[in-house]
Amino acid sequence: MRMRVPLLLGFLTGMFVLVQFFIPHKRMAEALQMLINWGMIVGTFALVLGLGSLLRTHLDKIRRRRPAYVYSFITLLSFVVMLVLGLFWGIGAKTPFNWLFNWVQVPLDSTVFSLLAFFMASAAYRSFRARSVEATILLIAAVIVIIGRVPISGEYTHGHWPQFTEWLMIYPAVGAKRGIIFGVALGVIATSLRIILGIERSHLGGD
Amino acid sequence: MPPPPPSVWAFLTTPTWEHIGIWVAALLTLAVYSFLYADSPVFRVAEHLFVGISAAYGAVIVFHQALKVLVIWPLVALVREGLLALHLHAYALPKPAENVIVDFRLYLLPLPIILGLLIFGRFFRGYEWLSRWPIAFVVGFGAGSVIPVTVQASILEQGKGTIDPFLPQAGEVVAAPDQLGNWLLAAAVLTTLSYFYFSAPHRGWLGRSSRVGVWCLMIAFGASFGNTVMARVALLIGRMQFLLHDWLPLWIPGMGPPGN
Repeated sequence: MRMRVPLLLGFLTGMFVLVQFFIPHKRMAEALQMLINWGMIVGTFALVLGLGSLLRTHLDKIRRRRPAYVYSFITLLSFVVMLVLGLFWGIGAKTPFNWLFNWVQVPLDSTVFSLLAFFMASAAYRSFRARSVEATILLIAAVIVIIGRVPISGEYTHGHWPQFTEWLMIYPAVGAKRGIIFGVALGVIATSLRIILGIERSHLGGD
Repeated sequence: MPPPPPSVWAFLTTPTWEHIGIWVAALLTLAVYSFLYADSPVFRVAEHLFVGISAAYGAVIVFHQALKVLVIWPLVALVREGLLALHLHAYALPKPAENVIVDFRLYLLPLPIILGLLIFGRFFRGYEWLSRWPIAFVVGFGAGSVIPVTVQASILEQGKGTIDPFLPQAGEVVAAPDQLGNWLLAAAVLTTLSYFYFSAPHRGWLGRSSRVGVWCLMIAFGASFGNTVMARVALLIGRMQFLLHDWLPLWIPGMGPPGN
């Protein structure tokens, strides 16, 4: 019951989804759509679990007066405000929820990710050394793409630099990535079969 | 002629939600960039605000676009059907629930809801194992759906894409750089695959091939690195443009880049 039922559930669901791919029938498509909806419903509960975990972590931090617990108030407050606004005032174009999304979440999102430009630059400066043939090739490819991707690249470098960058991206780089994709695909198929057949059980935890 | 930039006075006397939004966004942008100097309370506030807002955003979107459509309105319609079947007084359907199709699939709706609720079993001592059921369902579904998609997209289509350029259509002329590129691409695929072939020792021709494969991988990683750096730089430029074009003219009239 504790292990066999989930294994059977995984097997039946996985086999049905796999088999229906080879049976192009309207009923099969409808059944698949129903299963997709079921997956979304289950996923919704998983999201609630995740949010509950986030809230519990911050509430626990406040209750135990852990270091920097004051900031947890900000997380909780912003979470509650955004949630209440979104649930009760809707998510339309001229709602407070949308205002917070446009003027708080979007700027924070792009600013946090743009910070990575600085960190990547400093990490590259410290660790990018042409110590071997492989490292030199990596360095040269990176420099070519970085210069080639600058919009004014063609004006300050050789006129064909952007085209060469594009060529590098769509031929040698894609070739190597395709090799990786083949390997990853075989790995994905093998792991999926192991899950469906119940050989792989790590996602179900221990006994 | 573009309208003159609103001054700080205009902002103070007749602030619009957009003006307030620009100020909030600009201050938060500066708060995040303060981390470049040092980890400060200002950055911590922005960071924790980001976590709270993003988490709630995800929850609200899921509520409106998944929970309401897939659970709440169908349940409302289902309960009404039940009341009608029992010849009891039934309520009028709310507008969004009118489009719900009442058939056997609707009667199966409690199943995924119960399955979803089982995920909370991990909070009850002795019933943790119940949370395996929804996980098994979702993982089994993912495993089953990913096999045909992967075979199609990552093996057949990628193989086709590698071979197709060598079979040009009648009258099709392939430029020399593209022809060279096609050969290089095919060679890169084969040598990269040889690097990941571990059933034989990497000696002789396999050793040489796998070495070339590593070089190809280095080109791919270098190109990916360069691309990622430039994507982040583009975001940085976007934030700088926002500060200079949208925020600065708001409080220093006449400031900002030319043409603003």
